[in-house]
Amino acid sequence: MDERVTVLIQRGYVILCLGFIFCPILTLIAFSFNVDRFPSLPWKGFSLTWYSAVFEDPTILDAFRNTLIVGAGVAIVSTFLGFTAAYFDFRWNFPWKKLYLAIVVLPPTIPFLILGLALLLFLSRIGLGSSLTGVFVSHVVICTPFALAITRMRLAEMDKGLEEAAWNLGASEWRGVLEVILPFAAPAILASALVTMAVSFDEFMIAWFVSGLDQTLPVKILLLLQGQVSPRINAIGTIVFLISFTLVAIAQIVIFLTRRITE
Amino acid sequence: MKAAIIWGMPLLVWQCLFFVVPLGLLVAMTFWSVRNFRLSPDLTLRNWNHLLSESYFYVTYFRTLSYSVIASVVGSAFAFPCSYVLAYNVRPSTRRLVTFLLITPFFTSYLVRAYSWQIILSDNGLVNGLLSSLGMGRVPMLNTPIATMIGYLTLFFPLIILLQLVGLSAVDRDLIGAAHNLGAGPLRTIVKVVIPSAKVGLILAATFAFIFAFGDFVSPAQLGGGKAPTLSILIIDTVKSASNWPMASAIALTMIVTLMVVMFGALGAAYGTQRTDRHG
Amino acid sequence: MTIGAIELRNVAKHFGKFVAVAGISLRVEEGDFAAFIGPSGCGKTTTLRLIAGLEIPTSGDILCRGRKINDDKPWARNLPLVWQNFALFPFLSVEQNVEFGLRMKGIEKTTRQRSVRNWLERVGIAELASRSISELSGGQKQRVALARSLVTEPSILLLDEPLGSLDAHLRILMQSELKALQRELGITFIYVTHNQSEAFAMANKVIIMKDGKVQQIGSPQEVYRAPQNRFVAEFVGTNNLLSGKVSETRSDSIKISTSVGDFVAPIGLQKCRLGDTMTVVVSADVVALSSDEMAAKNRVIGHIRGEEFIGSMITLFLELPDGSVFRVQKQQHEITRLQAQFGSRLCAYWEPASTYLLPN
Repeated sequence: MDERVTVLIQRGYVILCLGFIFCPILTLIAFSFNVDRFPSLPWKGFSLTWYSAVFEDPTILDAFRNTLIVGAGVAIVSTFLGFTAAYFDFRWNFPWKKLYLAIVVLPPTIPFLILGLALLLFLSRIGLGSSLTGVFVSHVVICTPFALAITRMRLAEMDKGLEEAAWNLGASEWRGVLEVILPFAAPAILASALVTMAVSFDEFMIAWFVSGLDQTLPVKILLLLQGQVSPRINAIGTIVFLISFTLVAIAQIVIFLTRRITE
Repeated sequence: MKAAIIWGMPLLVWQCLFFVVPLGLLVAMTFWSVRNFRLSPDLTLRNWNHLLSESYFYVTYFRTLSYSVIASVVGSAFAFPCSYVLAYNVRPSTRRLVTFLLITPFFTSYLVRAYSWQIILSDNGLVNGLLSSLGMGRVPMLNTPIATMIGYLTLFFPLIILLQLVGLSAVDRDLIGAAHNLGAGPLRTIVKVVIPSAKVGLILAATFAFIFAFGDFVSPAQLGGGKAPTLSILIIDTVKSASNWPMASAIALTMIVTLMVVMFGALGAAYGTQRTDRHG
Repeated sequence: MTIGAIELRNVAKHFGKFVAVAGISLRVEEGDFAAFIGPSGCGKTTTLRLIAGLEIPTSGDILCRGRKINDDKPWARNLPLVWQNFALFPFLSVEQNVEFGLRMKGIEKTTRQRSVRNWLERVGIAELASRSISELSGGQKQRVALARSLVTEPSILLLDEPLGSLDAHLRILMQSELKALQRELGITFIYVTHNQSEAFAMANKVIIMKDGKVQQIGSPQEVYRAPQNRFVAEFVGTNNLLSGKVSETRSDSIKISTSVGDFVAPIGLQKCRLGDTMTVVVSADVVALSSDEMAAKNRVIGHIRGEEFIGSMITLFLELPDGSVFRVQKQQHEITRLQAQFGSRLCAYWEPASTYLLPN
């Protein structure tokens, strides 16, 4: 077969796959501006009514605020816990370290449906049952592995001698972390905060189980979906998508640029 | 070693308290009972007897299992040509760009992306709108297993491509060159050399796809219409209508056990033969 | 008795079952340029790390100026180390790197900046002060590492193969600079290297290690001319080792009989009796060559089997009747005068006084 045709088919297939992945997103964004109530062709007209409907709905705004609060809290705590565990893994070696890592990193591999159920059962017995605090606690469980992975990968790029050099020059262990480890890992810490916030921002299953009357935005979306389909969902969905997309895109760019500089 | 404990303990404590313990509670709760609408700790096998004697459960279980297997296989098959091209036949800059485009949507709301397919697939949606404007009849696509399958792909397609890509990139290029040199055509090389060498990445990708599909609620409920329920829908229904936590826990436990069996099996298949290779 | 700058008393370091350092004792005096040399894995870097506090000894004591420092943390010792791969902080500029030690000590800003500027000038890189580390060449990074270690004005400096990452001609340049710096500052240098000629060029005290043990300590000349055991004789310089038995003892000399001839050596400090096994050590650079058979007391006859050029020096490899190789180092012009070729028969001879004996 002609070489050029082969290349064309190959590139075309990749574009097809990307198209499959992005077409629901693009459709959503497009229809959020469609003045017509029903998502169908032909296009009736460009309008921002659904966006204003979203911004005028207090329940949606409340849910959005809750999601932001939880997300910010999760970003801070997950990044912190992920950093401590990453440094622990970087610096020390213990015989049961593999078990430690398994326990700590496993949560995202368990279906959130099951985790949500288990967490509701447990949290309600300690008084965090239907609360945002419960959602916060649960999200830290599933988000910290991401922070750990990102930070650990960055630390792996560091020369171990740097920490020893700091000690040799008079820095105590804690000072060494402050002066050497943190500055070196800073891009990873930033990326971790962004990614964990994005994961928490979009998580709906565990939140559905655990949040009570104070819903997070994804839970609100889930409930809206189970009710009548309204074009407001398109607007909310677009906003939610753009926020997560931005967070993760910035995180990736940060990691990419840092790796470029290190080389 | 005091410093090591200070650094290592916080996360371990958090995960033990809010991950291990809740799961342990879930297991224990499968033996509890509901008396007079009140949950009480117990040691009864009633939930299990009830669950395992219901043919409804087995039907749902095997439906979920088959959906997940099919989703995993279909997803892996569709992803492979894409991963292959990305691993071997594009410039590094293109690969980086596409990787970026794959990672990013994966971290955006799956719920929103799945819902968007409703717009595309509904009877008044995009596809049918296009078909009717071309003079063809409407094709009902929502509330079918096909829609559920599309939903699953929306969930994990980027992940499969990425995992396969990582696995394929780790294959020694010289092996491929050697195969060509010895007379194997491109297709034969892929089947006999590339796939076995990238086995770990391919199995890992398929396993994650299975796990994600097996536990998913949104696709079968929203896109599949919920008429052919899966275990996830069963759990949600049990919780929403009857608040029968022990029963829901039991169903969840069967899912956990299934997933653990699948994961061990997959790890064995992925890494097993490596041991014999070394002796041989 | 003077107190040494650094003293090791029976220091050992085990990593699980592996013995990296096997109970060594030594002293480095104030003002010494002490070089640890030995093959890889001999324990020299571990010893340096023990002195710096980056490893804790399994047993034994480390003393600094007479005070036991075993329990001192690395950051409390003020024994700065110059690292092989520099270990410069990539997120700090050159001057921020250099001022690091002063900052840890709490020195205030203006004093710090003055010191930093002073030392950057001293190592010749004043103009690079605000540059980032990634822009520097290997040689420049080396100078930053040096300045960073010296800025706290230590009295003892540790160096772990600091010139290992540099290319050959830069390394030779830096060797003389380091030697001059040490003399100028008057501080003690403890230097680790696997490169013999580097150690011999700079140090006044050489410590040879193998398998975690000290094989010999002495000045370069002592170690070169009077190796104390077989390993040192083989490791240092270019020596020929011939094994044989004592066949005659006289008042001022001994005769050793080997498979390639009998050799006369002066009586050394060792007592030996007839029949004792001894190793005759002849340095390749004290041997004379002739195409005729010389009636010398110490000679071997062999055929040229190879040669090696190092600058204007040639090392000739002669194959002796028993198959062993005898090496002779000569200047280029001396070899050409012989008009010898591959396979030529040559007689190598030397003075009894140049022979050195090792007991076996």
